Amino acid sequence: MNKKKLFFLRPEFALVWIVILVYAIFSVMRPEAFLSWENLMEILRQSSSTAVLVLGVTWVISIGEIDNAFPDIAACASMLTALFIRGGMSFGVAALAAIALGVAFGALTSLLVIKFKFPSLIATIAVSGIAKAIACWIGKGIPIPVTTAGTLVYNIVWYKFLGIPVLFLLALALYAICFVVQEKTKFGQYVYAIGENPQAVRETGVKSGRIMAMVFIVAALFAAIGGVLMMGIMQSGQPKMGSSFFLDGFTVVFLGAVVFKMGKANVAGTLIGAILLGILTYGLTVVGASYFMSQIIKGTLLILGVSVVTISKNKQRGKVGVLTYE
Amino acid sequence: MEQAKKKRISDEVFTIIIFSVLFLAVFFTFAMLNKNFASVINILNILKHVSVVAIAALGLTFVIAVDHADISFYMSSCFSAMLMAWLIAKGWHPVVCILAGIVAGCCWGLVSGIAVGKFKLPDKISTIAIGSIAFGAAYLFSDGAFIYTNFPSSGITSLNNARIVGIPLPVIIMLALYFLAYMVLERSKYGRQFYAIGANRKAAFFSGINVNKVIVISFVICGGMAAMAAMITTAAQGNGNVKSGLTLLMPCFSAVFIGNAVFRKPSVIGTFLGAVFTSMVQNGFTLMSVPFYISDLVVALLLIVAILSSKFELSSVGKKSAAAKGKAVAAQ
Repeated sequence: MNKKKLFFLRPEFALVWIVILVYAIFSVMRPEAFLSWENLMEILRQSSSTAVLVLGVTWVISIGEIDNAFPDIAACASMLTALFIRGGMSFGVAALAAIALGVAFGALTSLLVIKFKFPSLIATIAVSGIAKAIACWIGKGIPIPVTTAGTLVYNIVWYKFLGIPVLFLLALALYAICFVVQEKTKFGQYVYAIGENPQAVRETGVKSGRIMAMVFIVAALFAAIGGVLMMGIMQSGQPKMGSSFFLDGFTVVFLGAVVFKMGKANVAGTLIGAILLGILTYGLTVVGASYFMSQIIKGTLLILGVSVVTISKNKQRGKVGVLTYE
Repeated sequence: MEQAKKKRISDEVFTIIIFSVLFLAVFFTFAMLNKNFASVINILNILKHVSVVAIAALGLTFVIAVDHADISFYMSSCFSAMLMAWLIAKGWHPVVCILAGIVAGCCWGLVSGIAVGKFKLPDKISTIAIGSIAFGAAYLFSDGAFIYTNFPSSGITSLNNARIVGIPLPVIIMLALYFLAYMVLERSKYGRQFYAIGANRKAAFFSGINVNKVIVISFVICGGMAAMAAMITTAAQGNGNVKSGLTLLMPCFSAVFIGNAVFRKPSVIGTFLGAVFTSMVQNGFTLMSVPFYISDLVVALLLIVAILSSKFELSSVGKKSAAAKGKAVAAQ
């Protein structure tokens, strides 16, 4: 019965319709700022860096853990790139070095969580504290402006290929790779298996620790890449940009968990979530909404996403026996 | 069995000894490096500085005790701070303002508690969302600007400056709250319910504990305590600052989890020691005029080291008890 229904009418695709609806509403309110190819592409360009930043967090949520460190790892990577470029390195080398440091943070998180059995919340709070401190240390607490970053970063951030921003294409490519990994490899299967029942996965003989470690490292890797891209966009290393990505990141991932795979954070959904948040951020700026309004809207969306995820999970598992307290 | 219990106890004593040695070592290092560190005035200063983190962390202890996490308290404390400042600017009596702020903090806690306790939403994510809404709401009062109006004349600053038998008022408030919390959480039947839920929710449910209610209450306490921390910050700074509470997240979690690591369960005394320890380090570095980011770095490292040291076992027998995160203690 369900299969006969056209795929885009299924509840899993509701968020895609919501994205279109939100865009339509804003277009009616401010047609001059929305109804053109350039503006649409500008929105996509602005969503791209957030999308890359939270790509890895998707899987952390999928395995049922939490990562508080990603915004500060991004901030640290952006500061480090700025520092290296000012020190005379080329953008490519500086970016690679910063990304390597990001991976090191991820390795530290996974060491604490998997080897020493820290709760992931505490481990990532500690790691985010370290990352934030280093980010502030590098610039003595103030941003480092970069004016001599070279043409490579300029092209990545601003160049358009056939009218589509290169930054968005880059994000799309990263998402495509991760989508294939998630859907077509053992690794992707185990990620969801661990999210469902870690005990069972461990007892089947799968090295679940390694998979979880990989997930945390990948989250840090993409956070660092996102941070480097943000450095390119802002033309400076920002030590305190982390706080603004905290709510956005989780909102994106949990909105994404509502699409395609009902109730499970997934890569394709995260991209849709990032685009929705990009449209909202842009739209609210154009309309002139206050910080309060945008914060309320994002927070409410996050709660909605979480509620749908929780409800659909409970439905899948069903209620067990007499345990009515849950 | 008897022997296993003995060994576990010796493990716990061992952790407490390690912590005390670490604590004293840090204290004397700072005292050697800086003459002013060990003076009475500075120790009172440290305690005053402790009071903000300690009170907020005390509320968090209740939430951690029921095996949940609250990431909204530091953002809802911003809302409470702004509400207090706004009411003071309107010319209300400071006591009314403070009460209103605390009630507001409890309300945000209630919202989080209902979301987590009643509707069973995942605790970390939903409290992030609710906290962010609270932080957004804090911008309603002045659009993010500082509120100074009426502050010197309203008398709220005397909350910070007043002394009773030479001890600053915030310190006395802190000690009173800790005494109260100790009596409730660790010396009453009511407090055992928190630990019972944290140890095994199903068992707690079947022993007739109203699990949902106690979880909601723990979040309300956390919100209220965060508001009290906001009250002390507001009085000390002499203005309403939207971002006053944002620095609380890491020190509070550090305090609770250092305490958790030392005593193998989230406890009132453990949280206090953890808060004193982190604040002592921060104060020590400040006296040496080291910038804030270094002391943040050290607090983060301390958190890791403290939890690591509790994983260090004298014998393999104790390993299971550590993995159960103090569940054995609560089950006794």
